[in-house]
Amino acid sequence: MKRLLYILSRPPYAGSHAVELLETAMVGAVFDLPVSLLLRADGVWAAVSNQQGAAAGQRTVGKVLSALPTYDVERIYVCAASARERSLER
Amino acid sequence: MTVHLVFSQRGLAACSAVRRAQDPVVLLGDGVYAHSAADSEVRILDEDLTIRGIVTHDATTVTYDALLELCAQHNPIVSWND
Repeated sequence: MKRLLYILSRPPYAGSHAVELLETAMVGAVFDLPVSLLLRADGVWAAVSNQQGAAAGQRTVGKVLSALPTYDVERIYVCAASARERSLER
Repeated sequence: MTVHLVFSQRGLAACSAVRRAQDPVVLLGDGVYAHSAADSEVRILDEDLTIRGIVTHDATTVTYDALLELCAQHNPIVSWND
């Protein structure tokens, strides 16, 4: 069986890349494929809490991310080194 | 006097290397992620911090109106987006 890993490396509000990648991950899960997501490099900024995409007229990437388990994308990984470089803690 | 608009983390390093001490610097867009690398003179656009959920301590934030004023008062306006 095919398994999919999506890798987000870009920051959440540089265009619509991040939201579109997360949506693509959901589509894979809808077809019952095991889907994993890795946040790395500037992609780890997607995991910051209290984002307000509405202020930029965009969807809030953090909320889309936290909705993923509802769509059976349950394996979400964060690159520890990338998070550490950006002084992000979980 | 020049105002520097910094849109990226690498842009901040490039800008810091050449700017004059009295030139104002503003972090905006994804440049706000560089806030921890910026010194206290660097201003940060508050709206772009809010969008990204970034909390800064003892950082100088500016509103869009203040940014507009800086751009009106300075010439040239240099954008850094490395």
